Amino acid sequence: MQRDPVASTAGEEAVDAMLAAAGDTRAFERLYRLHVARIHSLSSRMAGAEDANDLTQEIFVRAWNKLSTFRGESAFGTWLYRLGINLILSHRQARSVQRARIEPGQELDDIATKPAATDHHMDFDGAIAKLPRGARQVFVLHDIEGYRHEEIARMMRITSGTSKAQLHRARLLLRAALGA
Amino acid sequence: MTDRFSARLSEYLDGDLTERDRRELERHLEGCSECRDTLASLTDLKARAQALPRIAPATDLWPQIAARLPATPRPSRASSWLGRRLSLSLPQMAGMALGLMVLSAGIAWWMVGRAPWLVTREPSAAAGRPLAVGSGPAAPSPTESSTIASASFVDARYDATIAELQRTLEQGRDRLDPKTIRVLEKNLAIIDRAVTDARRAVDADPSSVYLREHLASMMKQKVDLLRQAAVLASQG
Repeated sequence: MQRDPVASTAGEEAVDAMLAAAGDTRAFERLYRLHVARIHSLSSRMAGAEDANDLTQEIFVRAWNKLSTFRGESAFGTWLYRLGINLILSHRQARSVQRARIEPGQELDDIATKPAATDHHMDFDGAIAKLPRGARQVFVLHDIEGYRHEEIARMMRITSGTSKAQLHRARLLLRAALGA
Repeated sequence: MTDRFSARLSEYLDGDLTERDRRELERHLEGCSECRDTLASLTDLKARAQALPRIAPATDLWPQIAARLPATPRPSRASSWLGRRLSLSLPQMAGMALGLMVLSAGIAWWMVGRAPWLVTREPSAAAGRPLAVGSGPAAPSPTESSTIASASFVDARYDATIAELQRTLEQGRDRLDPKTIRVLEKNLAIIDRAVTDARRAVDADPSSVYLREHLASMMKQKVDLLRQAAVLASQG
């Protein structure tokens, strides 16, 4: 026997997606367990750790409500991440407007121009969190999540050239902040 | 280092430059230690980013999510079949298949009793196809082909899964006891009838969530049984 007939994670994921679409919450819980870490990471790194739990919950609830539109042309995970990214991006836009009125953000743009002893010891995730919003989102999507510039451009409604410029900016800011 | 080249180091690193630009930048790199250092830093940065671990939530968020899911499933054509690894033995499967047959027949009787004129469409040939363990997947008949062609994505995936499992089973058939094969064939036939009945009921009342779930359950039982048999065959 050349292959294990049971070991089919992708197949089981697709089936669980269909079970969930039929209303099976246990199947949906399995999908949650499979993808929660990546969704939470996306939320945390793109929108901030303080909003990550709320966003993660919102993404899975939204996914449940939209499961009937999942046709299986792509993997469930691909569909879920795209849905999550769209929600995070729209959430972040609303949130940034709200925060701008409350507290001026201290972003890496400012920090990088004011060297401090602790800057060079800043942990990677901490440095990412302090990137300017656009640069951070592109960096997370491209360098951490592996999306291509064309995909990022479509999701963020920017040009591919802007995506490339934001990525380069993010990398240089991180380099300066981390003392790399 | 010049802005002209340094600004394109990320594109170079990501392989996004044209061949001509790449060669030009590489010529520049040969004589510019600052750009080489920057490139080395960016390369390291990218590698670190790719190696970042996932950040799982500190607490399990499922209870809060589950509490927010609507209690009533949304109507959907989707159905279910594969899923979890099963742990039932073949005799248990036999009992289960008998139960399914009775349940399915009851539903079909109920549907015919309610609206007999609705139960007219032929069921999916693929779902109703007898599954002979001793033979590979049969070539689709003209009727079956047209049925598959018009079937939903779910049906197509189901048929593909069944065919795949049949192939797996066929490869390891010699390892199975003849008695096991007989039990398997018998129970597959029972489940096939249950699937057919369930599909008729769904065709008659496509809006019924209960009937769709019932059909999904029947389909899952068939896949589960085939999977179990395939595991047995692979283990010898």
